[in-house]
Amino acid sequence: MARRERAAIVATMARETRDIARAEDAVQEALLRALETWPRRGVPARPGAWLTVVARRAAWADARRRGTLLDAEALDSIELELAAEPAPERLPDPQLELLFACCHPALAVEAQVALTLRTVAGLRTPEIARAFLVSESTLAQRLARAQRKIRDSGVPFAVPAPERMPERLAGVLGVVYLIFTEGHASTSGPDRVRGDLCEEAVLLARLIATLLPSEPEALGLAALVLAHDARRAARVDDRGLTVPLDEQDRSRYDRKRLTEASGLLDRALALATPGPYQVQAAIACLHTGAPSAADTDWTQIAALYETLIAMVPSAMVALNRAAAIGMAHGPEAGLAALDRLQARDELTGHHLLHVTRAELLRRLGRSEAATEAYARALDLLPAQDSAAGDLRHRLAGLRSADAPDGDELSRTPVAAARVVKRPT
Amino acid sequence: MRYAVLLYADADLDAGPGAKEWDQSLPQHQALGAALAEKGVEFSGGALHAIGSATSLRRRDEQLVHTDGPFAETKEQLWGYYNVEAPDVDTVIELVGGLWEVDHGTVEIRPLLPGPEEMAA
Repeated sequence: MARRERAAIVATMARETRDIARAEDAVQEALLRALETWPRRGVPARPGAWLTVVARRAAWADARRRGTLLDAEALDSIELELAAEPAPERLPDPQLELLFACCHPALAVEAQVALTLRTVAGLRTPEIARAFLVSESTLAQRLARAQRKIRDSGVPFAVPAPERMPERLAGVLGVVYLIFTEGHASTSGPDRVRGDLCEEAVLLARLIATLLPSEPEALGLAALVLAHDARRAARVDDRGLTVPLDEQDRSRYDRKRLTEASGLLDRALALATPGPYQVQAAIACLHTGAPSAADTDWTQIAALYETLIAMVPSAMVALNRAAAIGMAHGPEAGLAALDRLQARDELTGHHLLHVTRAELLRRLGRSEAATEAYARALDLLPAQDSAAGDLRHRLAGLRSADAPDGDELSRTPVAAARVVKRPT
Repeated sequence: MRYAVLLYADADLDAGPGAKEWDQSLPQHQALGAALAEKGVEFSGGALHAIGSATSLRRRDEQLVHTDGPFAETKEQLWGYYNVEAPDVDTVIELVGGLWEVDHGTVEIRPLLPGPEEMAA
């Protein structure tokens, strides 16, 4: 049974019992009964419906009635009962309700992430533990605690009321974006890109966009992660180093994902309520869709960062805007924007500010100042950080006029930070 | 489900009628009380005297020890509570979100365990 289908049944049971652990146990029991019954009776016409009925019995029956409700005879008659009744209409979708429960603000963010991956995406606990480099027992405890909190404090399995929707949806989208950024530019472990996490984030973002087709930011997030992820195969070389944007083999970009992203973005923009994910998706689509780094519409990208900074006044967005200005209007204009940012004493402790400065200086032919800025950026990173490896590679390459990297995604859920450069 | 809503504010504030904070917080509490009564929601609640009025009891070595003051020194004091019936935690958040204490102190929402009668039922 595909884990997505299993997750859908868990969602139905979670809504009914308001207890995720109990829902999981009931579905597990139903799957065991299926293993006994199906080889004997054949796979039912509607396996999902069959499992749901059995899981419902397992969840609700007390110990005394369990025997009669779940014995072979009772299970054999389920198919007849199902054939007699029409497929139930499920609105709103239980998975959507489960998602809002898993991403409830009463839970800590790391618990929201773990619970969403476990319950909505249907990953197994060891898989999530591996993805976030925590021990299985730590993760199991985190999950159990979150499930208890949901049950005991009465976190509802419901789509929020319209007046709460923007805030609650932002929380849900933030969790999915966090999963994506951890995959796209991993902060932990030896791998720069974690395809498994990217893939989960894409699937979740698609699911949300399907379930909430009239929420522009839900469509925007799906467009954003798809447009970024379309470049995945070209972003890391055989040595595990990040390939700069302008050196990426664009024939390896996933055109299907980019087309899907553009379609989602068009639908989002047609709803005429812009938001940060939509603006970032527009930027990502421009990057991924351009035939080369040089033939990228930098003027429009700089203008989009202007729009984004009005929505999300973060220093990281200002840094990206400075980099885009540097591409659109020349390195001197970019340095001026960077100086304004630095004058406010923002991001001076962040390596990306110095990487951006180094790149602009290098393009002006000021190699010595550029080397200094790279060294400064390196000082700000732990030696074993994968980004530090990229930087050392670039610093060495500066003398041989090699090109610096240009592809970073920020940690903040709302600011995709892309440090970009002009090809040499 | 039944929820305890615990209202915390700065320990230095003087609770009780006559205090500025009392006057500021009163309208929202009255509005909440009226809203709960109108919806037929079962609830109770109360305001506490200032923290200095507390007497803490503990028995140690079979001796009953009285302490003049709260059981622990904290920066925030419990100064009122509600006990309210609600279908889920979002309903409670919606109900109490407008209270003065949310802006100026902290409001803690805690589900109550079922009482002995409910356990037996």
